Amino acid sequence: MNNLKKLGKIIAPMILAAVLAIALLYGPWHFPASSQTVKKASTSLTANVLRGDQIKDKALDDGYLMMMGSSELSRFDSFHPSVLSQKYHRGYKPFLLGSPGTQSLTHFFSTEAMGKHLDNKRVVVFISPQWFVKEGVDPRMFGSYYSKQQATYFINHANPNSLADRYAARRLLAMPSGKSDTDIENSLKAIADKRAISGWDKFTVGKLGSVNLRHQDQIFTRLFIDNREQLIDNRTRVLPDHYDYQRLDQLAFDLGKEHTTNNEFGIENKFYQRKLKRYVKGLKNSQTHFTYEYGPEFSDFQLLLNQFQRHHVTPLFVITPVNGAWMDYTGLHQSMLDRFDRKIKYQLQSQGFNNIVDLHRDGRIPFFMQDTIHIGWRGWLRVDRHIHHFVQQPLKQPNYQMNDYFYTKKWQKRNPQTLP
Amino acid sequence: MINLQPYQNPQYFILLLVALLPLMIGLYHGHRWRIYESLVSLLFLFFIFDAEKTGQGIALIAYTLIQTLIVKGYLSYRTNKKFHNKFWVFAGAIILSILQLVIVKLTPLFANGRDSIVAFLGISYLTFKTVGMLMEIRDGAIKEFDLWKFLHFLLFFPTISSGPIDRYRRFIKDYDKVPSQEKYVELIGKGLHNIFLGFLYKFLLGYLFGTLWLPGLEQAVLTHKSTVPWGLSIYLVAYMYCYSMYLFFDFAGYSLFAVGISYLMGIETPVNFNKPFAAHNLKEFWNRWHMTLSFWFRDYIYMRFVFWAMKNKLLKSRIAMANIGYLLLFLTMGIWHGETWYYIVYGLFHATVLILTDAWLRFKKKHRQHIPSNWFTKYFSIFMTFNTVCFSFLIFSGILDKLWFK
Repeated sequence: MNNLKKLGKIIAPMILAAVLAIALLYGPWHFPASSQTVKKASTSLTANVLRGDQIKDKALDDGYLMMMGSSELSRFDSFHPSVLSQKYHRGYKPFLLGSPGTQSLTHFFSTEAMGKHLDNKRVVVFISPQWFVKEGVDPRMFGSYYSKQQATYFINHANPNSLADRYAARRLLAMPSGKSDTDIENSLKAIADKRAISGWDKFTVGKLGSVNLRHQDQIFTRLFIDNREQLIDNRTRVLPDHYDYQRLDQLAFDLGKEHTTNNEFGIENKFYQRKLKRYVKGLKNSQTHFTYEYGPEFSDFQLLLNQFQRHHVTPLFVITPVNGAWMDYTGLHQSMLDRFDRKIKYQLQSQGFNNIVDLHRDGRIPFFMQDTIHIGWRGWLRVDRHIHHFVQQPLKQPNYQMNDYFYTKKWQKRNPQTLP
Repeated sequence: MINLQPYQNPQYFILLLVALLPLMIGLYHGHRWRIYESLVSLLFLFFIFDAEKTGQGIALIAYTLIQTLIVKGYLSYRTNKKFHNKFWVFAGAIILSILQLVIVKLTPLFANGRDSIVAFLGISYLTFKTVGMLMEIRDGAIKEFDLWKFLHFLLFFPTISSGPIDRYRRFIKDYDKVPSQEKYVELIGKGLHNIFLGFLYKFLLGYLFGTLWLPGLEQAVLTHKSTVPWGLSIYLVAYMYCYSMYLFFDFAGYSLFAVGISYLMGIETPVNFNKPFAAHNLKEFWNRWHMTLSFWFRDYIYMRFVFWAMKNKLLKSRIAMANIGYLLLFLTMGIWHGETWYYIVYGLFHATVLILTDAWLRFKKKHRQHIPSNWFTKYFSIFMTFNTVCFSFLIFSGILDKLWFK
């Protein structure tokens, strides 16, 4: 009996822990997110929010405008869309999605999991030419934004007969993330091979996994959200009371000038000091061979377009520029950027995506850029004006003509100069 | 098809505990239900090597057959009074025994990084077990062969993929008996403690360092490839520590699972880690890190080489012999990890530092009066050892290869 008591003492806490954990993760609960949380998340840029689902779904339902991009979104100066739309009535509430290293594939899985919440919405997509390197998205960076919950959602809703879904499964399998869980890996392989997913995998991924992951998202995502509301409030202080484009543009010019005094590239002082100064010598003429014209990113991007078509979304695409002085220094060719621009615009326009803000040649406008490749002051002001016009237009039922050609190696390798 | 890789996620443990429950009830009441134990083992082995991994499963079956024949054959040879204990027979048995492992290890080198078709998860660890057995058969320490027990030892599923490496005689001692109820309750306590500590290590800390932080750091390191001389940016230092922590928590967590599950089955598999970062010199580090592997290399390669070299009077100096022993041991370990420059440099680095450590210890012994020993020297030596180890893991990680040669 003594041994049994001892055994009881050992096992009881474990059983209790197991029961509580199972109840919490698999029980019939729903933990709603508050509007407060959504507001905080809308400017936090935290990877958790991107990986999660609940907060984004609620944001869409609450009328936020999803702005998908990458590192440029974190350049919060006084003309950042989140700042301007807080100060003035610009007709939209931005919800920022993206961090350094988030590219088309991450946004595809993120929007996929939004499901019907995305239906008939407007979104803004910032296209960085830098995404389109030959190797495509860096698997490690993809991994740090990979969400099992989104992968699970994709698996539950994928159709093996759709080329897009098979391509998406193949791409995820090419990343270490896709192989980090055997059941998910097996399910993806089934989709990629045009097979049905096995009963066991359907059960573990579809039934067990999705409940568990949904609860984890509902409980934990909100706990780790960076708060930038104070920062944004501070940024609004320098702005005049009434919106006036000419006046604001002058202010942006002045602020830009004031903050770019320690270098000849028009790069913001702190960024230059911290990230560039030490390395700047080694970077001279280091980008003469850079090309953004080829690679799998073009097909990954097509997945995102396909998503918009499926959910009747009206997107506005902003093609971002590179700092002109910096291009001259590093030897990045404007002609290469022009060819990239031609290729991506062909992919957009030939399928009926016509809301494009093409800034790719504006990198030489003074104080348009905040640093090497990121929009700032006057650039943000311009972007905000475009978004303002975009949300004023009445929403029409979009009509896209999707073309599976854009998933092929042929398209990835296609020389932009051969385009009509 | 159900495929379960060992300890891949918390759900695995639920399935495993359910399957082990009858066995545990039996052990608690003083019975080892061997047939049930074998069935559970077979089932979980099957789940590791089925579906997509069937090829590996076939390679494992072939491997098991071959190893059984070699061990059985060599034992018959050794126990038959007609034969003398010839070295070349022993050497032949060892060579045959490691042949499949050597093929598996060399294939990627000659086949553009592709894996051999005779490869399977855990082949190294099984080979360590059989080679150890062959050596002990030669020594006359193992005198009997029981096919059933041999298979249980070789294919003990909690440790199949990456150890800890058990020894045949130790394993069989546990397998043959049933622990007393008091002892078994204690084992359950320790086992569950290990498993929960493993959760903390592998699923929380290993995930934090390996999945959340490491990729960003690697990216940062590679971004500065050409901006600073040899790409030696500050991020490389951060990467070094982060990778070292990841390596430890991931592997130590895995080992804790294997040991914990073994305990629940009434088998006291030896532990693999004992606070390795508290070591105050590299010699002690290897007595605390991946212990079953370093003890295996120590007992079966290093000691045997040193004895053999002494018996044959190969070198006069014992110190020189010990040093060559280190080089041999760590070169072997490096090559075993894979035929890349960084694994081999990693091995040579450790051998060199161990040789220096020995020299320093001799020097210290001689000049004991003049060398201070206090709390500062103690913590300083721990600090130095930790950083030496982390530096060696930086080499091991292969990031320098990506930084300089890719």
